[in-house]
Amino acid sequence: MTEISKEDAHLLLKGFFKEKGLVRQHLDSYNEFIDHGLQEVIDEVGEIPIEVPEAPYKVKLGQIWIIDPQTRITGPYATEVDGTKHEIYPMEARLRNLTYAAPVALEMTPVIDGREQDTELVYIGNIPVMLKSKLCFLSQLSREELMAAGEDPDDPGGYFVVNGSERVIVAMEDLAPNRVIIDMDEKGAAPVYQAKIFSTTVGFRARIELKLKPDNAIYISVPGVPSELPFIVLMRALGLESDKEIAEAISLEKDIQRALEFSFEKALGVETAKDAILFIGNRVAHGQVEEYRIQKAETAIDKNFLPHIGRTAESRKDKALFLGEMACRVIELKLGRRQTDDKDHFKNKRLRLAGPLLADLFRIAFRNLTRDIKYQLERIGVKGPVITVSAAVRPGIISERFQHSLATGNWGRGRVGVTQLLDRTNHISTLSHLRRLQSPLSRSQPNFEARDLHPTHWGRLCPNETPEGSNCGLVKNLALSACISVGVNPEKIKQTIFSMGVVPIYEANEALKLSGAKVFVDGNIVGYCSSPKELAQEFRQRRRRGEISTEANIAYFSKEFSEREELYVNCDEGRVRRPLIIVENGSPRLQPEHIQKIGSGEWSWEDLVKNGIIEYLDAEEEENAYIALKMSEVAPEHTHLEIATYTILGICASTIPYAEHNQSPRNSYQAAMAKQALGVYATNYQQRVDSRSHTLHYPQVPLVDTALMETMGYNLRPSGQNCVVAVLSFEGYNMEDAIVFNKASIERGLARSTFYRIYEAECRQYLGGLKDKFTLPEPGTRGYRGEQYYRLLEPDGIIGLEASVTGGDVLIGRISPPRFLEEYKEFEVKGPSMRDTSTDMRPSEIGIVDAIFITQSGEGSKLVKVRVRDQRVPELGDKFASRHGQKGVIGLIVPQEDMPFTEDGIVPDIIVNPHAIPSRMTVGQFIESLAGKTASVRGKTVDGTPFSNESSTELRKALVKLGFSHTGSEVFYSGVTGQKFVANIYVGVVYYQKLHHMVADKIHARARGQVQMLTRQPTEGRARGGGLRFGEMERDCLIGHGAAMLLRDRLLEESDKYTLYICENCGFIAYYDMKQRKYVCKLCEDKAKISPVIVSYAFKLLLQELMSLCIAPQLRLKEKA
Amino acid sequence: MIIPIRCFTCGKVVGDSWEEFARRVKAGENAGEVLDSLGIKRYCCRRMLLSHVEIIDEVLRFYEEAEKRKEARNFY
Amino acid sequence: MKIEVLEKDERNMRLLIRETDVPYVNALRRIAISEVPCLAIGEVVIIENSSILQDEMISHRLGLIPLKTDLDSYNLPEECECKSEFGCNLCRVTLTLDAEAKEGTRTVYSGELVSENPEIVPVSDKIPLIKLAKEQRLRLEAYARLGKGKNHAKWQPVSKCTYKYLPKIEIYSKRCDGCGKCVDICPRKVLAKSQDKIEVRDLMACILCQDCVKACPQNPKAIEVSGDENTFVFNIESTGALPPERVLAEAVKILDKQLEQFENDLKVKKDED
Repeated sequence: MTEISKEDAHLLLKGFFKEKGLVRQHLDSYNEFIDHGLQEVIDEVGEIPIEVPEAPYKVKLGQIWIIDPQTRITGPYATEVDGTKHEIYPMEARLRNLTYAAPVALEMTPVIDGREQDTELVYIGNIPVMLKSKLCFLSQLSREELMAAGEDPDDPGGYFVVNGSERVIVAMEDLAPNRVIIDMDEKGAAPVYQAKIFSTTVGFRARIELKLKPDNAIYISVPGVPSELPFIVLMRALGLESDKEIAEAISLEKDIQRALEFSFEKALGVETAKDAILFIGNRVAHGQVEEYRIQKAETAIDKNFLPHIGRTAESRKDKALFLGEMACRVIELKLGRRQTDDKDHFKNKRLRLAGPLLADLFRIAFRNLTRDIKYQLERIGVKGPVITVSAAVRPGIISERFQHSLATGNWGRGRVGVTQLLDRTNHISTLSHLRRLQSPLSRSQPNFEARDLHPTHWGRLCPNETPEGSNCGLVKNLALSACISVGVNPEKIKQTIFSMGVVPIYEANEALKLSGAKVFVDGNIVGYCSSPKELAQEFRQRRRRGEISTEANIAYFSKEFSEREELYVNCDEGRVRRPLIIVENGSPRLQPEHIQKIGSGEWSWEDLVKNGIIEYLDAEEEENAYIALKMSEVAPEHTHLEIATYTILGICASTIPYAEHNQSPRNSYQAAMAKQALGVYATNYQQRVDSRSHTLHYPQVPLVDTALMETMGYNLRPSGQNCVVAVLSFEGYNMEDAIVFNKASIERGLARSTFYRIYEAECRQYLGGLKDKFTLPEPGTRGYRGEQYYRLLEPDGIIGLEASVTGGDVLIGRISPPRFLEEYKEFEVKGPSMRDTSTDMRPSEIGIVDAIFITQSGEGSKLVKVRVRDQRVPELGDKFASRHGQKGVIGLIVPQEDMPFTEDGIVPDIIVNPHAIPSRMTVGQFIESLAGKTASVRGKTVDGTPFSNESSTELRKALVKLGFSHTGSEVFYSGVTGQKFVANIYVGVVYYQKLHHMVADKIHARARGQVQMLTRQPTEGRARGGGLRFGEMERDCLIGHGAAMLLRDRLLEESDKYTLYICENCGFIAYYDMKQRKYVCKLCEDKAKISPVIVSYAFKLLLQELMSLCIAPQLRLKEKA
Repeated sequence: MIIPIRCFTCGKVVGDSWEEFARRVKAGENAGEVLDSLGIKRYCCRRMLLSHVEIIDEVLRFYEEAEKRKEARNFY
Repeated sequence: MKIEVLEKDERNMRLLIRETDVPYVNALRRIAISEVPCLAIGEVVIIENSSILQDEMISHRLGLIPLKTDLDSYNLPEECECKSEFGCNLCRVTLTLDAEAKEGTRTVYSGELVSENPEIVPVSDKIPLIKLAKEQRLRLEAYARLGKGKNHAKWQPVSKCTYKYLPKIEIYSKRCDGCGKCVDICPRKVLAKSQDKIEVRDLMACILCQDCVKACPQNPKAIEVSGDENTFVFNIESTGALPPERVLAEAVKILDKQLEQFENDLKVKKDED
C-alpha cells in the first residue's frame, strides 16, 4: 500500500477542476433549466381554452424550442431598429448595452371541435443566456477563437449580460422543502413542541405547522384557515374516520397512542368526514351557505394543505398518513425519544441556483402570456377557418419580465437583491462572487445559531471566508471541493429500492410497521424495510458500480438517533456534496496506476467516479461515514479517505500561505481583503467598458504560493507584488498599523496602478420627433457652464483622445429639447430652445481620456462611452495589506539613502511595525517572510499550502545553506547615522497587495457649498460636495465641554439657520404679503403681532410636517432675556 | 505587464536579462542557476525575474487576433 | 585615511578604507546615492502611440533607462547658463524612437533609441521597452537631463552602495571544546574546524550576524565577534552611467563643496554678529 503523496492528491484535484471548472453549479443549473425546466413550465399549463361565445376552442401547447421561427437563429441575438436580426457575442452586448438573450419559440396547435389544425411555431420572447452555458456561443470556442471574439479565455462565465452590465444570480440557501423539522418553542411558560414543513410544489409554497400545546392537544395551522384546527378533526376530514384508523396512522406503539388522548377529546362532536369538513368550513367561511362552506373547506385541504403530496381529492389518504408521521415525531419529541432537528445541519439545507429561480420567473411570465393570448383571441373572435395564434402573441411580456427582474434583482413577491452586479475588482473577486451563498434570514436579527460555523460545513463551505459585520455567517462561500447536486427523477430510485426489498406502505403488514425501518425518499415515506443496514450497503455498492445514479445518496440512522431505525434516500437538487476516496477493508480503492492514468490523461475525473473509486457524499450520508484524514491513518473501520484537507477552504482563503499558523480571524480578514486587491482582472480590459476598474502596472506571482493558486488561475492574473519587508519601528511613522515605504521603490514602479472610469451618454429620442444631439453647445443654451469647460471638445461634441481632464470638464457635449414643452408656451414666444445636458467629469477626479467607444444602442440611438484613466502612484494614505490580515496605510515615504541597509545592498521596500504582531498572532507572515527569502535565493517558489507546506525548520536549514542567518534576521546599518544597529532586523520577502482604498478617491473638503432642497442642510456625500455629519455623539461631546457657542455655530450658523416669523397671538407661522409689504397672520388679521424667531430650517420643516398630519403646533414666544 | 526595467529595491537593471532567463527556464534549466549565471545575486533582484508574469503577451493576443481577422477580410 | 582596492571591474568596486569613521563613510554613501548627478530621460514628447501601454507607462520606463553619462560636457539644468526651461545643448540630450511592427509582433529594445550625441546612449541596448503588435507604432522624442538621485530614483548612479565594519573574530582556544556548532550555523562559512580547533577561514566574508556567538554552548562564550568602527569594507555597484571610481570621486567633491558652503554660511553669520 503506497502513500498517496501530496503531488498525487494535487494531480487528482487538478483533474477535478479541469473537468468541472469553478462555476459548475451555475452552468449545470442553467443547462438543466433550458433542457427540462422550460418544458416543465409549459406542460403545467398544457393548453389554453378560448371561450369565444359561439365556438369555443382550445390552443394546445407543444414543445418549446430555442429558435427564432423567422430567421432560424438558435442562439443569442440582437434586433436592430430596422428589424434585422443577427447573432451577437457577449462583447457586443456589453458595449452596446444590449441583453445577451436567445429567442424562445413554442409550438401551438389550435384544436377546433376536437380536430387539430396546423401547428404553428410561435416566437414568444427572449430568454437571457448565461455565459459559457450550452446556449452561449462561447462554450464552443477554443482559446484563440475566444480572444478573436474579444473575450478573456480565462473568464469563468456563469453570469448574465443584461442591458450591458454583468449580473450574477447569487445562490440562495434555504431550508430543504418538504422536510419535517421538529422544534421546541420555549418562549412561553410551558414548552410547545412543533413540527414545521415548507411544503413546496411547482410555483406554490405553503408552511404547515403542527403544534403540541401545553394542554397536550395537537393543533395544525392550514394556510387559508385563520385559526388552528384540532389535529383529529383534520384527520377525519382527510378520510380517516375511526379512532383506530387515526391512531394506527400515527404509530402502532401504545405509549404514543396514549398521548393522543387529549387530542381526541378536543375533537368530540366531530365524528364523520362530513362533520369535519363542515367544522373547517365554519372556520373558513363563516355564515355562508352550506355548499359554499363545504367547497371552501375542500379547497383548503386539497389545494393549500400539503400541496407537495397532491392537490386533488385523491391524495387525501396520503396526506393523512403524512400528518400521522408528523404527529408521531412530535409526540416522540415530547416523550424524549427523539431530539429536536438541527436547523443548521447542512442536510436540511438546499441551494437554489439560477435554474429554479428563472423557472419561477418564467412561470409567472408565461401565465401572464397565456392570459393575454386568451384575451386577444377572444377579442378577435372567429374570423375565418384558419386561426393564426401568432397574431395574438405579444413576446414583450416574457422578454420584459426577464430583463426587468435580472436588471433590478426584484424577483416578485417582495424578494429583492436576487441578482448583483458582478464584482470585477480582480480575478479572485469575480470567482468568489460566483461561488457565494446568501441566506434569506434577516440581517438585523442576531440569529446566533444560523451564523455559527457548523461541523457539517467541513469540506462544503469555507470556514474563513465570510464578511465582517451584520452579514457575518449569513453570506457564505463554497469550499473548493464542493459540488451541488443536480437531481434525478425520484421515481426511478423508488422502483429500484422496491426491487431491493423495501415493502411499499400500503402493502406492509403490522409486524413490519412495528419492527421495520421507515424508508424515506426525498422526505416522503415510501415504505418499510426489515434489514435497513444491508439495504444501505447494497444501495451503495450498486451506485459505485453505476447501476444507480451517482446523484442519489442514502443514509441509515440506527436506534441511537430515534426510537425507530430510519433510512433516508435523497436525490433532489441543491444538496452540497463533496468527493471522497472510497476505502474498503482498510485500504483505499485509489491505486498508483489510477493516478498514473489521470496524470497521462487517459482517465478523467469522471472515470474515477464511474469506476467506483471516488464518490460524492452529501451531509446526510456523511453521518454514516468514517473518514480518514491522511493515508497513513487509514484503519479497517474507515469507510472513506479525504483527498486533500486543504480543499475545506474557499477561493479567497486559498490565497493565504501557512494559514494554519495564523489566528483564524486574521484569515477571515484576508479572505475579505483578497477581493479588494488590485491586479489584472481580465486580459481584455482594454476592450471592456466597466464603470470603474483598476489595473496594477507590474503584478507579480507570489513567491510563496499554495497548491490551489494554479487551479484558480491566480498565477496568470496575480494581484500583488513581492516586497522586501523589514520588521522595525521606524521614526514613529509606522505606529498603529501604518507602514513606511521606500521612495525609490515607488519611483521605480512598485505598487503603481491605473484607475479607469467610464462616462456614457446616449442620444435619446422623445415623442414628437425631438431628439438629443451630440455637439459643442453654444454659449446661449440653457445650463451652459462656461467656455473653459468645453475647451477640449472636438466639433462632433466628443472629447479628443489623450486630453488631460479635471473635475468639471465636459467630456461629451449634448443638448436636449426642454422637458416639459407645455410650460414654456406661456413665457417664450420663440420655439423651444435646447438645454445643455452634457456629461462632465466627476468633481474630485482628474485623468486622461483613454478610449472612446461610439456605437449604436439597441433602440438605434447613438451611444458614446468615454474611458478616462488616472495613474495612481502610491502616496501617503493608500491602503496595503499582506496576506495575513495585516492591513495598513502608508505613513511615510522615505528616500533610499535614509533607509537602513545591509552589507549586501538590501534595503527594505516596506517597513512594518513589530507592534502589529503580538496581539494579532499572525505567525504565518513571519514564516512567509522566511519562505519568500528562501524562494528568491533558491530560485523556486516555496509551497505554502495550508496543512501541507514546507515547514519552518526546513526553511531555516535551507537559508543557512544559501548564505543567510537561520534566524531570518540580517545585520542592518542605519541610513541616517551610518552606525550598525545593535540588534539584527528581521527581513524577508512578503507578498503585499494594494487595496483599492486610495486616498485620492477619499480626500474631500468643503467650506460652504450645496444644500439640500428639503431641509436646507448641507448635502451628503463626496460626489455631491457634501459636508461631514456632526452627529449626535459629537453634539454630546460639545455639551459635555459646555461649549454652547460652538454648538450653536455648528448646528445653526454653519447649517440651516433660518428666521421664522411667528404671530405671537395665535402661535402659528406668519407669511410675507407682497402687496402689503409686511408680515401678516391670516388667522388674527389685525390682532396679529409678528415676531421673528431664529431656528433651524429643519425645525420649521418639522412644524410643517406636523401640520400635514392635522396637528396644530403653536409656538409660545417670550422676550429674549 | 511587461518586465520592469529595474529592480524595485536596489535599482539594478534587470529588464535586459528577462528574455534569456525566460527562454532558458522554459527549456528546462534550473531557475536559480540561470540567475546565478546572469550575475543576479541579491534576492531583491532575483525576485523581480522569478515572480514576473508577462501578461502583455496575453493582452497583445487580442490585437493580433484582430489583425488576423482584418487581413482575412482584406484578402477577400 | 588609507584606501586599498580589493576588487574592481567595470561596474563594481570594493575598497578597504582604514583610519576613518562612520559619519564620513556614511556621508559618502549617501551622496553617492542621492547627490551624484547622471543623465536620464526627464521629459518625453509622444508623437504617436498606438501600443497597448499608455503614454505615462512608456515615459516611466524610458526614464528608468540608465544612460552613459559624460559629467564634464553637461551641466545640471539649474546650473546651466541658458537658464531656460527647455534647455540647451549643454544641459540636454535628445533621443528619438520610431518603432513600428511591420511583420508581426515584436519587442522594441532600448538599442533602438537614437541619440543626438553618440556618446550618450543607453548603457544596455537589450532592455525591452515595449512589445508592439502588427500595425502598432510608437514615435517619440525624449529629452535627457542631468539630475540627482534625491529628486528621482532614475538619477541614482549606483544600484548598490554599502559598507560594513571590518570584522574582528576572536576565538578563545582555552574555552573552546571544538563542538563545531558555530561552524555549522555560520551562514557565510567563515569558520572551519580543523583537528578539534575552530579557526577563521575567511574573515572578510563575516557579516557580523553573531549567530556563532549565540550558538556557542560555553559560558563565558568561546568566540567573540565585533566590528572595527574605523575600518570599512566599502562596496559600489554602478548602473553603468558612470564608472564606480568616478562616482566616488564626485561624491568626495560634492561633500567638499557642501562642507565649504557650510563653512561660508557660518562665516557670514559670524560676520553679521
